[in-house]
Amino acid sequence: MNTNTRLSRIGAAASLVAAITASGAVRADVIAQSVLSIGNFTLKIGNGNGTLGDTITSGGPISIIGLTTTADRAADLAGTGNMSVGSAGITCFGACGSFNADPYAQVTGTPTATYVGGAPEVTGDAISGSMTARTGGTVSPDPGGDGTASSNVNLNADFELRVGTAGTRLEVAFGATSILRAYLDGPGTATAANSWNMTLRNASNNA
Amino acid sequence: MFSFNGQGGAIGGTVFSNPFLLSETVSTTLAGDVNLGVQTGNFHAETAGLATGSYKLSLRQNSLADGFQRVETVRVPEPAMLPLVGVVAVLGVAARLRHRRG
Repeated sequence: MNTNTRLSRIGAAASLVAAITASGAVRADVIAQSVLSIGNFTLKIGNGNGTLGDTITSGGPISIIGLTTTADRAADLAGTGNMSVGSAGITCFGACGSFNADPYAQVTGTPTATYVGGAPEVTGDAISGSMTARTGGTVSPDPGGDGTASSNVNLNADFELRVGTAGTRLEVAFGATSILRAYLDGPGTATAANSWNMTLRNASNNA
Repeated sequence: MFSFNGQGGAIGGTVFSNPFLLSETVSTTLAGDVNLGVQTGNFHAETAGLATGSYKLSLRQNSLADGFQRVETVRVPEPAMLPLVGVVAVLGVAARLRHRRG
């Protein structure tokens, strides 16, 4: 067998192998969920010993003068819709049945629906201990397909306080529930994050 | 100033209870399920003694979720066609042996 014949046979074999291969698709599924629920939030007069102190009353060592809450929510499901709203409530695009029913419920299992949702909520008052502040967002962009989705939810609460007796301590107590999940079974990325912080500053000098 | 962020400590005060991190991020770029589940607990803190005057207490809370996925097309052998490779190979060897004997 001369060299040309050998090369042609090798080429034919390679062509055959190429012909019997086919394209395959790697599935991609993503779920990202973040929920932070602050419940029974209460402000008290601290006693320094780790037990709940006295209730705040008007004209007492500490008074609550006012409370302002603001919220915003943004949801983006690429190719379907996006929205940014400067208030509490629910924003959701796609198959939103379960999200609208309870946006703060844990999402388990693998993704079965395409949706993105975000929901901030604040209710109650901090003196009686009934204040609840919740933020939650879930993204599930196109199970088995291509997609991007993002949810960003903010909640702010600002109290105005007056300390009438020097040396008084302000106490804060609450229950919290956090859910964080980043699920991925193919090429892509998934990120879920919660953040919370509280600061008390003197209104006259910001210290 | 008093600052408490649920990360275990406080500036200008005392933390009595901080059972888990209130500020946390999970992320993955590889196949898997990074799942912290449902964390619950009670948080408790208080400031140091305050001077008389007016104060502003600010609470800030955020939840963020972000996902990106793509279907990747790859060339893979069709399993149903693999036996054909073997048949072709056997026929090729047999033909070569016949040629040598002839």
